[in-house]
Amino acid sequence: MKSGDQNEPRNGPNDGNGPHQRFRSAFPILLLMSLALLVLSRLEHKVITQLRWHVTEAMTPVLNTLLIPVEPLRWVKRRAKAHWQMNETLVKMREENIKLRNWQWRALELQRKVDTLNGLARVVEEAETQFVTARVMANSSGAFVRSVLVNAGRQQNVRPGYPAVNGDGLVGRIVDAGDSAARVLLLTDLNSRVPVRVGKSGTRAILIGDNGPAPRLDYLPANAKVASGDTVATSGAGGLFPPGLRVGVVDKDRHGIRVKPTASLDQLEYLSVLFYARPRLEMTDRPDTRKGAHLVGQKKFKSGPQARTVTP
Amino acid sequence: MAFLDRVIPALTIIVTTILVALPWGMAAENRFFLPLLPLIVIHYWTLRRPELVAEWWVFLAGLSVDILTNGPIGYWALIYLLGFAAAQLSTQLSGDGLLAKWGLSGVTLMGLTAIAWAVSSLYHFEFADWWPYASAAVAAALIYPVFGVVLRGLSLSRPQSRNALLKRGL
Repeated sequence: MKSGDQNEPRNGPNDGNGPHQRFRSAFPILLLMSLALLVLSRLEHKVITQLRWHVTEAMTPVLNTLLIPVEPLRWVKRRAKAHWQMNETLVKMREENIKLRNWQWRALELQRKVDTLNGLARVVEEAETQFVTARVMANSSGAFVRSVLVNAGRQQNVRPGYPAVNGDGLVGRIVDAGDSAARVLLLTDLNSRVPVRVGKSGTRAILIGDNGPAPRLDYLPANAKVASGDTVATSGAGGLFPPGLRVGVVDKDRHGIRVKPTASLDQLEYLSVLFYARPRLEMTDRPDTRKGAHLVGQKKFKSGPQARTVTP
Repeated sequence: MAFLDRVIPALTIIVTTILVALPWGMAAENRFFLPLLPLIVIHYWTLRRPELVAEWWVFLAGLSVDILTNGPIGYWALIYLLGFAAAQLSTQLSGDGLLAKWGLSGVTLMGLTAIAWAVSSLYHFEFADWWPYASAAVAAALIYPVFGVVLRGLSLSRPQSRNALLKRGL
């Protein structure tokens, strides 16, 4: 390269201070750092988890701000889709309406019977579960995980383990909670395990996510009769989820027995976090005179929010 | 004006990095394509204005994507750094024609996505489904020229063509 040439690019490839010089010096270090972080991440090192949360919390206001221009775009998309499918939806809804009227009548009859029987059997009333509704700020669905970030955290009493639902059914559960944000592990995630009951018979099984669109149904009893179209709801086993939350519909195919979630997990905008704490056994007697145990129901949040909605 | 010209590459990298995490209402399988957007931007600016793209930015952009997408930390940082290195090396190879540039960037993106798939498989100790990666790579290669036009429009001053200078023996 000729020296003093006006066309000579500054920081060119062959001068000592150019990008190639930096490339030679910093690049291997950063590459090694990436690999080291990847290994630490695989080992689930505590520092990595903490770092992730500090940065995520710091990014929360930025994500909330960026959602402002995204909202109109999503609204337009929704409107266009609704307009496109209007006739089809109208016919479907008329048919559903007729069915639902019949179901309403049956449901009211059943409710009356259940109330009568509960009264006769002196059934303990279930405590009402409080909830908080939050907005989905970020979607982390990719090669490794299926999760979303919501704008409600510990300040809103959101804790890890709480189930997350929307109008259509169960979405997942909280796995991390910061002060103002929480991460929801979706049903479809590789690490998701949900105890469920299937169909009218209430066959118990475990719904296992595998990062695909429909989680698979496993640990079914050998003689279980499961058919496509059977409804799937949470069983409440293990105490992680309250029983009876709608999960999805069985979809049997060549890949096995899978469940198509009723909630549209790819298009989540708002979801509700249920303040559902696992019922626990608390001993009321001294260990040496232990004769019985007292079941303590759901933890009540005396100062918690009453169905509060969190929006930016 | 000159200051703005210098910050545009960094700004576009930051914006595309954040766009990756926003809830666009896309199916999870289609979201594989999103983390390739910052890679396109990094590749483009490193080819066009290498003096304005530092490895640290590339590394930090990758880390941000890793954190925002809740993936393993270091994964996209590694892929973006490799993309940066590939672009640095191809500044010597890139032809002047649009098709040559597009072809080179397409091959680079395909190669990097293959590495991303390999790293993901290694991370999980089982072969990852290759289809979402392949479709994402093809989509990214197809969209590259669109990004090229947009980023070219954002760039206020035209750089000296390094290849032209090399050809002239300067």
